Amino acid sequence: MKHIILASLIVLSLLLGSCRRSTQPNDEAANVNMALAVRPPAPAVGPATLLITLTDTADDPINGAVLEIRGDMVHAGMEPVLASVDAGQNGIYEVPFEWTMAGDWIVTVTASLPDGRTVTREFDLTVSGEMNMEMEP
Amino acid sequence: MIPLQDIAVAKENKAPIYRPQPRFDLLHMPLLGRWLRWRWGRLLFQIPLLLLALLMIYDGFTGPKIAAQNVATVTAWVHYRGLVMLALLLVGNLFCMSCPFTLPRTIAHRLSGNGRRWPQALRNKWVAIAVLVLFFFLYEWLDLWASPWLTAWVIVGYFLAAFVLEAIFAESPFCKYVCPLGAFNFVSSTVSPFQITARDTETCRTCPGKECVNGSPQVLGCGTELFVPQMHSNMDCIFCLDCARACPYDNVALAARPPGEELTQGVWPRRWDQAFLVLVFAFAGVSNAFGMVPPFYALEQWLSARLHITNEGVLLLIIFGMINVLLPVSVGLGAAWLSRRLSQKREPLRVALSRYTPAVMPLAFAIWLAHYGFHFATGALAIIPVMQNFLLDHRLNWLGTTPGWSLAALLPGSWLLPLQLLIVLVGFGGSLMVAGEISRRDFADRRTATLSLLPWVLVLLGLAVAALAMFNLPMEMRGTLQLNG
Repeated sequence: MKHIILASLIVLSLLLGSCRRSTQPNDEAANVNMALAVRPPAPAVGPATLLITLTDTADDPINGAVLEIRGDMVHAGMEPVLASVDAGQNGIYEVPFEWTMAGDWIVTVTASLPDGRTVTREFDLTVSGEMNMEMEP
Repeated sequence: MIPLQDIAVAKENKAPIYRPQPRFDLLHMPLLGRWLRWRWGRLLFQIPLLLLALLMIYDGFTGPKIAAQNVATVTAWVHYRGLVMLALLLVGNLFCMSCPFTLPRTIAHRLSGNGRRWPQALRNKWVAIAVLVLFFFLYEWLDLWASPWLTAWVIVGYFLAAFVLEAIFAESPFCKYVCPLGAFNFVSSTVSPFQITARDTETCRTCPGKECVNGSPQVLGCGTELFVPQMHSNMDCIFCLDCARACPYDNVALAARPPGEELTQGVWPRRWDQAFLVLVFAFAGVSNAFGMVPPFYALEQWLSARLHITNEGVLLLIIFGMINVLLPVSVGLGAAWLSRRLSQKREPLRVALSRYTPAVMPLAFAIWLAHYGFHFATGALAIIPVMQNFLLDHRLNWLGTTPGWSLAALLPGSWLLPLQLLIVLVGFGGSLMVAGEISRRDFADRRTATLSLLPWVLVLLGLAVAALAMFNLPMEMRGTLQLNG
């Protein structure tokens, strides 16, 4: 009986895990390129600007997308920084942002494209007064 | 059945056994007391934490990869650490009381049958110190605080380790001799305001069965083999209250005592391992906070350049090996040697070292409280959006349809630094008071007492200044090593 209960619990957790929305494929536009640049390029704690570039496979800019940006520190428990933008020129979307603390950040950008598709990318950054920022799409 | 002669007693201690008067006894409070003494009382604390641990494992393995959005990381590194310090400060070792890792021990005990006894050579704190130091190193090296997946593995590891040791050995060696959380909580609980004690020691003296330690047919005895009337410290007590349940005379109290009182009574065993556990605990408190401030990264880069080492693991091993092992050993032995020399007391260095290590505890505890309290104060409310997100991820909108991600801080940011500084200063003051009390207790001559105290005052001052300086620095949360070039 115990073995049945244990096996059922394991199967239930696997089923629950596979039912999670976050485990469903949500990158509907794998052929969209997204790049992130930051101004100033070596930011300290404080205000900054994110420059997000959206292009298609032919390198043509994508305008008219709505971008949701979320900045998380790598340590749990820190309040994320949220921002959004719905207007871009030549595929470049400029978003005021604020680095609230020095350290490692993960910036998640979710773009809702004009054709209804959604694309999500994560960028790892290190915010420090002394060092250049690293970006890895 | 454990013969009484096997029960560890501080043989060198000539002072009367410390027995706080049960002025305020939690076990005899209305309702709460009955609950605590109830046979399944502990289980009611453990089951919620077991469910939480299973939830953390589940979300850690299958949930968001970002630590700030995952139940495992937020609960383990923000809530557990903050709440455990508050519980230790206000009551005692409540986490060990509610520990879910020991729940599978019933199955393990059945498997073990008449398992063997934990080896005599390991019946001390050395293994726990080694595991504690290893854990702090892995925490920094693997960035456990940034990884839900690894955090889930840590929890699985605890369950496995507790189960395997319970299955092999007849007693409960995991809690007393191995568990790093247990070691941390044991040493911290020496400043806690509640302690298990006998209501009337004469009743214990004439008790034929000593059920509190040996157990009865209905209730287990003390898992860590402590004998209530001889308990003079919270060290090794997991607050399981099995002693209270097993006692046929209702003679066990969970009594209030002035915080830190056991530190001044001279009741600690004069052992190398216990002294170094305290010192490692203190220095690890500094190094754990040091790992989050800019000078730490500067030191990493400097060491990398000087030693031509680019492997972060090796660099961290050097830094934390120095702060968590070399410094406690050298500073502790140095202070003890100097103290003995200044007081001209002919005694083993072990005794000189053990005399003043209890005085380090209030400051060490304060440093941990200030650090973990910072994370709790800045992120306690983050569990709300994280749980909202968790439910929404499973298509359940019981807590709303949009996670309130702006919820995080419990206290205004401007309060944090003054609070941290205040906590460290109070801890420093407490340590000085304990040290002064010890010196007056052990040295009749005032001048000799002051001289013997002096090296330890310097150690305490150094620790306090290091902690104050660190908390004054802007905290960074980095998981990457940035090397020049």
